Amino acid sequence: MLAVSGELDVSSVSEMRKALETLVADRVGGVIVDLSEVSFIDSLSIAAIVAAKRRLGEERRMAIVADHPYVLLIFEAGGLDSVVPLFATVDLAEAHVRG
Amino acid sequence: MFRARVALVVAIAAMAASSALAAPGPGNTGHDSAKHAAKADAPAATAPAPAPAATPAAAPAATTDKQKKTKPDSPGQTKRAVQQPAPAPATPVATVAAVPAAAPTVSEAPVVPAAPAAPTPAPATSKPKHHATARLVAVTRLPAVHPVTAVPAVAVAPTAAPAAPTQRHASAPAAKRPARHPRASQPSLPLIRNVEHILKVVPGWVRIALAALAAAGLLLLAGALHQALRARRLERDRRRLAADVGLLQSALLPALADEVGRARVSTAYRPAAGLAAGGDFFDVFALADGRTALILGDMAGHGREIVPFTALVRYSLRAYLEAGLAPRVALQVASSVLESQLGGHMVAAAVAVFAPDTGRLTYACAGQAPPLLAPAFPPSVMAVSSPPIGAGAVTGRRQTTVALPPGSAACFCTDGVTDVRVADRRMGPDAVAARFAALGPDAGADELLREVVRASDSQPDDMAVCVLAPLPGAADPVPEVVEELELDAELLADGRATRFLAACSVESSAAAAALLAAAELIARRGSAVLVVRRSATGATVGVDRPRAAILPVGRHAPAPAPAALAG
Repeated sequence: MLAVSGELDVSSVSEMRKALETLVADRVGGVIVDLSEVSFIDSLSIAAIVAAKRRLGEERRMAIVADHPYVLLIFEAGGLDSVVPLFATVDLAEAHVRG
Repeated sequence: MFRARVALVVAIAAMAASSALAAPGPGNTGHDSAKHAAKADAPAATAPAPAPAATPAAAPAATTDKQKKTKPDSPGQTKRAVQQPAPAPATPVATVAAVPAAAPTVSEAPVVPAAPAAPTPAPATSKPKHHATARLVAVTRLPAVHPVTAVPAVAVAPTAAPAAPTQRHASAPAAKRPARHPRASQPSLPLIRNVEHILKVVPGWVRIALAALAAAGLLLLAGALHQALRARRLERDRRRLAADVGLLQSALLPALADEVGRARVSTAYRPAAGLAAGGDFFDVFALADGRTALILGDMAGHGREIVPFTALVRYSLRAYLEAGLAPRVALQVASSVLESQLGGHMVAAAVAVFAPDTGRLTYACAGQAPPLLAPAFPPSVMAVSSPPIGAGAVTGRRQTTVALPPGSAACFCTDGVTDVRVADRRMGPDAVAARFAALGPDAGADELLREVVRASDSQPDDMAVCVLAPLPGAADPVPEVVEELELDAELLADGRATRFLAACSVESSAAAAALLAAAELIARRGSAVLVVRRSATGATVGVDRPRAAILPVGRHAPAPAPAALAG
């Protein structure tokens, strides 16, 4: 699980991309990106999450935890909930990732 | 060392002889060497032949000896060399001859150590010519007596002989000197003479320093010239690059006419930083049937490496719209066709078509927020929005048609506009929509962008704005919003279809009936389209078959009336 906080934008995207790549490369069973402490996420950071999700393939699942209204709006308006499932709590996300 | 010492002795002897010749002074100092002088005449006369060869050899040797005398042990050795002849019983003359010989040497060439070895230097100068020859004879004999000095024996005789020629050489410059003076005093420019004088008195190190300064100055000058040329070249390159970027920018962000088709159009763009060549793009163009098409998009990222992908998406979408595809279908086709060509990049895009004859604007978004509408419109339905192109998921499922009567306007903008920073938050689409509405229906994209920039603290992303408004005389439709969602088995199963209908304020019973009909259609055709009509009186939902992907150019008819299933 990758938990991040604050605002995710161009200044933090490379750090997040690296963290995600490490997780994906570690051959973990699934990835949960916890954005519950995140108040903003830009398109670059979303692209990084989507890229990691695609690299996980079909067998390994990914889930996002988010509850900040602006982040939810960004994900909903961007249609990203159809790419990576969104959950309100870590438990729900974990249940999804574990299948 | 030994040879050098011997050479010195020879040189001393030769000089003594020459000095004797040059100074035919008065009476003797009382040495008995004078007696032998006459005897030596003969050998001296026979010597001249080999002399010239020996003299040059002796001179450098003497010089080296002088240098070597600076060593601590040299004086002692020299002293011995000079003194050795002294005890020689058979040649008292030689001793005398050698000793005074040192005197002139000392005066002419400062061989300091030789001086103490010469107790009576003065008398030698006063000796007559024949004394010199006598001395030579004595020296010639020396080797026989002292094996130590045997080596020079051969050299001594010839060397001594040139005494006279050496003297002549020495006197020659002296004779010339008076002749040179008149030449030197010939009239020459005082300035040149002054410069010559200055040059004479300037110390060597100053000259070297001046030369170094001059060289440094030349280097600096050359460096400055090089820099100037380089700056000019860079400026030329920069202008060419700016022109190239301008060309690229015009391909992605073209300058548009104020009116396109029967719509008023305005656009504005503000890059985050630096030259404008990034992920934002827009285009507004007239379709063959008089409708106006609009594209606005944003590729995640900046920089020139994404420009080809941005251009690919922009021109593909334009081609699909010109071919007559509905906005939703254009995005769907673009996504399925371009996904593999985008190099993993993700593109958010909004595609819209305004039909002036019906006064309706149809738009579809992929990862892009819906347009801001002014004046007040019911809030857009965000549920089950389509993801961006290149996100690895099906997109182009959603489409919305709104009435855009005269006096209203639609504003499409990239997320850079809504995500401007205000204090510790982001401005957000609602605040931007409020500002857009406050500006009035005649406001252009420029005004909105300026207002947003003014009201925000920082603008971290590129910002592109496109405003489209109907021209006076366009149709004034009844206010109605049509929301569409293309369903497949997955969306039906995972509850997204239900969520969409709820967000559209469709009654639950009507929604259930619609989903049943949709499931039937999906089972037969693989997909179905939910069509929700929203107006002041409520929402109705129908199920439609998916539209054909390809429509004849210019015959893009309005959507066929969906089969009403619920009410």
